[in-house]
Amino acid sequence: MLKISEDFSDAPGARFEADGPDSGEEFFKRLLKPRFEEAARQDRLLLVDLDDTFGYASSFLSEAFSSLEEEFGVENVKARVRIKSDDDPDLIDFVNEIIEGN
Amino acid sequence: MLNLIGIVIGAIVLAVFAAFLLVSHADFAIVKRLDVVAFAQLFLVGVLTISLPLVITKRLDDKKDEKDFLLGECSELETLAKLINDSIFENKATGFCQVKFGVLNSKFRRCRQICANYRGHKSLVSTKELSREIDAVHDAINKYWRYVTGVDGIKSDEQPIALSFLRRQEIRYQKVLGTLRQLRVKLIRL
Repeated sequence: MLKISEDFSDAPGARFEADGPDSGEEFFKRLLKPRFEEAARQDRLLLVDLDDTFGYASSFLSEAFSSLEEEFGVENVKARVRIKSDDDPDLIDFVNEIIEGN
Repeated sequence: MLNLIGIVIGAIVLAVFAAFLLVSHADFAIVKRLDVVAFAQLFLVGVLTISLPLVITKRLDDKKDEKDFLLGECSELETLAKLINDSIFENKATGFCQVKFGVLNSKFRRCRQICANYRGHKSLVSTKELSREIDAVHDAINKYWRYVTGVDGIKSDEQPIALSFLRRQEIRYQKVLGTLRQLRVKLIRL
C-alpha cells in the first residue's frame, strides 16, 4: 500500500517540481513509479490511499497518474492499481478518468 | 405513501378483529345491537382520526428538517466558495506557499464532501428538478477546482498570480454561486 499522507506529504503540491514542493512529478518519480514496478515484479495489487491529506490539486493527480499510464499502459495500470479515498470519494472517479486518458 | 397504506390496512384488519371480538363476547346491550360491519366502521374511523394527523405531521416535520439541513449546506458551500475566491485575490501579489496551497485544497475538498452529502439526500428530497440543481452545483464546483488547481492554475511556488487567471477563475466562481442560488430557490419552493 502507498499512503500519500504518510509516505510522501500531507500537503501535496501542484504539477511539476518547478511549481513548488511535493509536486505530482516528484511523487511519481520518487514513490509511485518504484512502488508500481515493485508490485508488478511481485505480481501484487498496488493500493494508493489518498486519505488524511489537506486535499489535492487536480494538477498533482493528473501529473502523477497520467505519467504512470504513459509509462506502463492503461490496461496494466488499471489491472494493478486501486485507489482509496474515503475523505473525498469523487477523487476515485477523477483518478480513474486520468488513467483511462479522459 | 407506503406508511399511509400500511396504517389504513392495519386499521381495517384491527377494526374487523375488534368488532368480531366485541360483538361475539361482550355483554353490553348496546354492543349486542350493533352488527360487525357497523362496529368495524366505527373503530376504523377512530383509529384513522388519531393516526393520520400524526403520520402526516411527522412527514411534514421530516421534510422541513431535511430542507433546513440542505439549505444550511448551501450556505456553507457559498461561504467556502467565497473564502476560496477571496484567498486567491488576497494572495495575488505574493502567490501561494505550500501551507496556503494546502488550505486552499482542503476548502475544495470540503466543498466536494458537501456535494457528496447532497447526493446522499437525493432519495429523500427526490424531485427530478432538485436532482438537476444538485448535479449542476456539483459540476460547477468540480470545474472550479479543476481550473483553480489545474495545469494553468495556482501553484505552491510563491509567484504572483496572473490577472488573466484571476478573471477566468472569477467566472467559474460566479458560476458556482449561480448554481447555488438556483438550488436554494428550488429548496425554498419545496
